[in-house]
Amino acid sequence: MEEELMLKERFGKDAGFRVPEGYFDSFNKQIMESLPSKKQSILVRLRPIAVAASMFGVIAGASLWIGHDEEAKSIAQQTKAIQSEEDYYIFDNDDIYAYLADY
Amino acid sequence: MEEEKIIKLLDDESTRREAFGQIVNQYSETLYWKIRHIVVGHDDANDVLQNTFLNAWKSLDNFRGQSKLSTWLYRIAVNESLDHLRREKKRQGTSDELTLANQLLADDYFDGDEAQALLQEAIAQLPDVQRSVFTLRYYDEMKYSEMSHVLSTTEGALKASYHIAVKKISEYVLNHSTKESSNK
Repeated sequence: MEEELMLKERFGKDAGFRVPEGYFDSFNKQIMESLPSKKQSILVRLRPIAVAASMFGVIAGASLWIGHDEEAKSIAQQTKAIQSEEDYYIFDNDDIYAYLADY
Repeated sequence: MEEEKIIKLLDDESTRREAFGQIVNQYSETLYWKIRHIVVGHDDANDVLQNTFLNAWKSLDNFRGQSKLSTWLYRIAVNESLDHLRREKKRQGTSDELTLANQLLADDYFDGDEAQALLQEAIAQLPDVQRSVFTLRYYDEMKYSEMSHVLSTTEGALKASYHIAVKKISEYVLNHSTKESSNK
């Protein structure tokens, strides 16, 4: 590609970026010190499941309380809709990375 | 340390932290430069790199070795960089008092010349994903096959995206060089 050659000839491959002296050594040390413990990461990972379970409990309780077949049917439909909404919203970055890790 | 050995150590709870330390030592510099080429500023790159490793640590249980460790990390790094660009755009709005080239020339961690600053400004005009495609290919010479795993896009789409990015950058550089020389 002609334009690509022009860019490489004119600008080269060094972007001109620099880092503070000793940056990588201090970064590596600092990031290892700031890693959360395993226990904490499990709690964070279980959070979406806990939220989904509590939402489901509230909706199931409400459907029992109302009692009518017609209304129960409608609530079941609503539950399904809320759950699919929830599936969408509980996906944070962690979930996305977890999903991507399978590929 | 070899990737296979690291993955084995990651599986074991007692050696997990030590193995992750190996990953940090092995990949921090490579990931930093990939991120820096996308987000430009050192402080921003530092923040994104931290988030990358923290997210990798949190989602280690889900890494089953089906993709290369490096590809998995690159994917997290690029996603974090793109998230950062989106957040910055929202935060900054439309106020642009200084051009990126001028900001860079005043930056302690940039020692390029005016031409290199102009190139960074041209790259920053690209849409976020196209910007990532360009920097991963131009600076890191990443193969399209690997990039397709990192960005979850087909190789054909990536080639087309890179081609368009190169054209846009060349035009930007040409227009702005012409303006500068006619102003002198």
